[in-house]
Amino acid sequence: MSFWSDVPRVVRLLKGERANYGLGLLALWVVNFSDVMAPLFLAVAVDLMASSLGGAPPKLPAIMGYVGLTPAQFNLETAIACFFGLQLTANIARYPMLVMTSIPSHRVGQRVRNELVGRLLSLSRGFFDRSKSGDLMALQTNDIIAVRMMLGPGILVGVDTLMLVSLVIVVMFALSWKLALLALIPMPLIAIVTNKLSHAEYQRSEAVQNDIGRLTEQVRESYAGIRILQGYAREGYDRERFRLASFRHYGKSLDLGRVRSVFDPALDFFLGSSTSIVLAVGGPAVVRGEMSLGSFTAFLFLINFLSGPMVGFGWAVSLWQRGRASLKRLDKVMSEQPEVGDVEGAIALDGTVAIEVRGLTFGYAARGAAEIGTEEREVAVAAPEQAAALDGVSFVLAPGKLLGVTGRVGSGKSTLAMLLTRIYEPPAGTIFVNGRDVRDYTLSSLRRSIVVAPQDTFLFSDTIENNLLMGLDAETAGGSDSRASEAARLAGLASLAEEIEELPKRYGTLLGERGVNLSGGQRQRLAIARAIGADPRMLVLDDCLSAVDARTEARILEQLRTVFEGRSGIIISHRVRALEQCDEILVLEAGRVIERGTHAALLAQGGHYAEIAHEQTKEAVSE
Amino acid sequence: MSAQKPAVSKLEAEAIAVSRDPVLAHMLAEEKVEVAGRDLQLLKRLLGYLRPHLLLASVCVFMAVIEALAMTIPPYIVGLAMDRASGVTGRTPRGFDHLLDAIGEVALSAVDRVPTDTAALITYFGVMSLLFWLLRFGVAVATSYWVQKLSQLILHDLRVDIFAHITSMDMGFFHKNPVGRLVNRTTFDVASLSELFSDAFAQGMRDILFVLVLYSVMFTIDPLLGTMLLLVVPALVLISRLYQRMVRPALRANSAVVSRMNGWLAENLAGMRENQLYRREPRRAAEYRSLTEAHQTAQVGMVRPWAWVRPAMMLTSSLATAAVLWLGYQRVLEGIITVGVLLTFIQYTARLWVPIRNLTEKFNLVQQSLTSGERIMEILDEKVGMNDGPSEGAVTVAPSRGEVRFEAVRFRYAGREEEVLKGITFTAQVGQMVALVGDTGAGKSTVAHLISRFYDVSGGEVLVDGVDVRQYRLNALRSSIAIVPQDVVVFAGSVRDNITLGRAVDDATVWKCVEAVSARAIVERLGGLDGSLDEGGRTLSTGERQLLSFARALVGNPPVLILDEATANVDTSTEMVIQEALRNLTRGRTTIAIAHRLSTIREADEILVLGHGAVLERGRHEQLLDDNGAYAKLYRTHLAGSGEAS
Repeated sequence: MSFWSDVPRVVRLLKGERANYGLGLLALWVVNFSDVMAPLFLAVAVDLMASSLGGAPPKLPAIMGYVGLTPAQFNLETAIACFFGLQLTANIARYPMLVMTSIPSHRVGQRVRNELVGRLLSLSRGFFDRSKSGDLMALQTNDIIAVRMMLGPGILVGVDTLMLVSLVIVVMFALSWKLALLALIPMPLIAIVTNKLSHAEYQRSEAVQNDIGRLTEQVRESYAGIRILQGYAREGYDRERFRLASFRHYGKSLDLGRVRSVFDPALDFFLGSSTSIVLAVGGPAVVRGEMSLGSFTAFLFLINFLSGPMVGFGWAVSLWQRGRASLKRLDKVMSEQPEVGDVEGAIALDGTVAIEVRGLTFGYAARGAAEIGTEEREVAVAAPEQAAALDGVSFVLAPGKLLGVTGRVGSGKSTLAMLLTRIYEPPAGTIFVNGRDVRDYTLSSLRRSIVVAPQDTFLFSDTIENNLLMGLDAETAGGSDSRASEAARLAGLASLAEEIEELPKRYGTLLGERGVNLSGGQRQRLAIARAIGADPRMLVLDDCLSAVDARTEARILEQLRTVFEGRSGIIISHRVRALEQCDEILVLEAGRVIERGTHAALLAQGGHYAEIAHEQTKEAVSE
Repeated sequence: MSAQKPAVSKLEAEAIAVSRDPVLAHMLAEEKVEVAGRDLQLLKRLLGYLRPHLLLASVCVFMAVIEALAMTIPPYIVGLAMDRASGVTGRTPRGFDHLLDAIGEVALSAVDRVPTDTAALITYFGVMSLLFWLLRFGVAVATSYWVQKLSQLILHDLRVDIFAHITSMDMGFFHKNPVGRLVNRTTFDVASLSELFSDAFAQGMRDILFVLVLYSVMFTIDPLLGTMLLLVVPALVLISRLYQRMVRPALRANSAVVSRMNGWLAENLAGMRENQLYRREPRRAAEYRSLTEAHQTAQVGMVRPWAWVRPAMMLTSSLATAAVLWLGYQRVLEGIITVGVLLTFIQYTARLWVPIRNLTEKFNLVQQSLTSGERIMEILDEKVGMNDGPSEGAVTVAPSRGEVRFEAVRFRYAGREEEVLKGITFTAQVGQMVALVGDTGAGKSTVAHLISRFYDVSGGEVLVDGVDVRQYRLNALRSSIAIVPQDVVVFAGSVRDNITLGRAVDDATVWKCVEAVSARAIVERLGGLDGSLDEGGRTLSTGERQLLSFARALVGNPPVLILDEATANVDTSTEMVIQEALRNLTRGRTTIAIAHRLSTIREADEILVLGHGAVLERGRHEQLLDDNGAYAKLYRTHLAGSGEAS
């Protein structure tokens, strides 16, 4: 992979900011030019001083003679004033130099961030099953920053190095080309060593970062399991375990420290050797009168100018290496296409919903099910070789009717819900909505009409109200009053209102890490309320009552009767009580329908369903 | 001080406004660093961690002084050489002159040649300068390394302390602090402190020492010029302070926005299915865009001050150089110093601003680190929740029979009005099973928690083997009790470690326990006792995890067993195995079961029906059904409409 092949990609990134970069680099030139010229006037001042003390008459560095400057034009005061004036110019120009490159680079970074998140939001479930969320997080936390660093300091320092080094070298050669050659000997070494060391530093700091990850996971386990550790009086053992892990981390950090402790001293040493060379070779030249004391002083200052760019060059190179690698990773995700999307000429789904499923067979891509929910996760583990999650399932659901689905853990119940809303794409010609293949509808209208309250739902760390009203469209959201009353209505339907009223900030209570943690039953009820709030034509409840206690369950089931009026619905549950009111019940086993019928009919049949029903009446007294 | 809350700065207000994010405002408030005095307090406490490493610490300081001296000498040599070069006489020997002459003499006698002319002498000076640079390199590498080692040792100690502290807290503490927060304190905040140590402490100490040494040398050479240069430091410090004032709000905003952005993304990746199910994609994209705008605001707020502070410092340094040149020239004319000394001074002046610039550059990091440090101290300042029995005469022998008795036990959570338990009395005789049933919030889990003394009662007594649990050493009490919770915790590590939790138990015993709970097949599938389990036991089903947890309970052979809804998450198919295992587990042990399954409850010697913290009914299953009270009602609610008669 060549560096130059990536340049056009980087230039494309800078679209819209090129003018700013141009100005910034122009300012950089002013900075460098003034910086490099300033020591020449220092040289003049020292020479004037030396000659006034009876030394040789002042001799202007040759380079100044080229532009028509003569010693007679200067006295000590004007030389010092020129020196300071140039420094002033340089430092004034530094401001636009930094601002005009840094702020645009941040702006580009933000743009890339937004593009990345926009892409992630559009990608399908399959992509997320394949990717680790840690890797996706790293794109934001590491890769975008690496790209930003490449575009900011990477460009600035890179250009600075080339510009300043060439200027310094020109001036040094003009002063004394022999001494310049000698003084520059250690310089390439600096660039090489910096690059090598920053490479090692990067790798070791990666190792430290990874180790922090391991350490964090261990600590998380211990704190999450504190009741067991304390309950079994095993804290001492766990502290020892942690001490060992912490010591391992100490070792890794020290590995990094070892590289860091060589870094700066090595650079100083190379510069020091340059200075020493100037002294050992330039000093005698001054004695012999081949060089003025001023030029000698200028040399010492110019060498110090090189330190910045030399360090910077190694740094810039590693910034570019990292930035390009990160850009590749970002581009890879940016080029992902959603697997589920609107086909050409997709139509909007409107009005009542009738479903027909014909011979639906579906299997997840290898290990694909891992993310769906606890249910399928167990399947994926128990049967690592790819098994069909659904196998020849057929049914018809007329508008306004209610279908019940039950079956063991991993029998394919949740898969059905995910296929209906095309979270996963069903095979063509298997699911029909109002007589048309479900794949012919626009995703947004389909998901507007069919809403799933998933098993094990996700709550956002936002207010309860916002979590409840997640299904509301922005246009219909209305004012804060109507939002509040809608939230209360939904909570009431899911028998959640009383508990919310007891919270200190009621519907404004934050959920999640920074707020309140809801119990499993409360989460499930919130999921139901959220789904009802979307006011869909068809409501799918995926095992949403399993953690709710018996009395509340009964109350919710009662209230759901009114909710389901005029809507089609699917209730997925392994509790018989939740299924009683359904017009038809399917019993799934390993993806196949093994029994179907009404509650009464199935009980009479005396099969699997009747068996579960019998078991459940015996079980579960409390909660 | 706390009466006046720090006002939200303009920049922070702007960041909140563009983000339109309620959580961000919340987080910004958390970022606020309170009273300035706390920084010093914090440093003092951190310095306390130096005590065990005093020797290493003094070596570091000593080396840093040597390093600073070694760095001061080369510019001095240049000046000396220049005086020789320009044939200046009348240089009053001061500073390093004697030292260098001595070294020169030794060096020259070593090569056994007297330099023939000045030029050759200067070449020797060049070589000497190189040697000092080499010396400085060696010293600097060693110093750096030892300083790093010192900081990492301290951080290690700190981490271990925090972990030990947190793991000794009571349940109330864990209620108050979500696990995520505690984890951050233990790892990320300590890592952030690491920057404070290696950059601020280590580098800062060396920088400050360098400035001190430099000034001492300058004073010995020329007190007047040295004094004049002293003025540069306040100027640089002033610029640095101004910068800090300007950039602080931006730093705070940035740190809050960055963690909010990370939190936002993590959350929306986890909730991506919900986002898509509920068509939230455009709204989420807009939310994130607002966050990036707030981020940009903060970034601009950080870049601008930086863009002027650096030029301002460099300019101050140039001004000082110009002044030294001008004043120095007058001193040279007066014959007080030589041109060589002036050259040395000019080089020193150019170096003077570097350490102060370094300190300013690190300000961002230091600021974050201090916040982290404060958060850590906050945790360490929390008093350890549960005392370890009475200071004198505590029972150190673990209860061996396993009788559990509650005597009119009352309980309320700290700071709450409402009582969770309102006078509970019962006795579980040795080997008996007591089942607790009742609605959520009836107080069942609290009863279980009080036996292991996760909380202390607010009235009455909990006795194990006739002794109040508060009389035991915690270890003694808890090693006699095994808890089997609903959510099984699996620790990353070997199967053996997960079952024994590090207790010294031989493999034969472990296998026996594994077999007793019908988990042999599982353990074998995992590769035996040495097989490894990954985080959270993802390769195991809920039921399998539960069986391992049974084995864990069994291996300690405890007289008391607490089943906290141990079988709630197990589906019907695994049920049979679990029931069998459970029977083996409870045999011969006093068992307190927060029960879910009728099969468990039926076997109980006594059932306590709890309601709002009180015992509503007690008795055996059949007896309670006959009584036709709360239990019977509870029982029937579950059966209502099932089409089956009980």
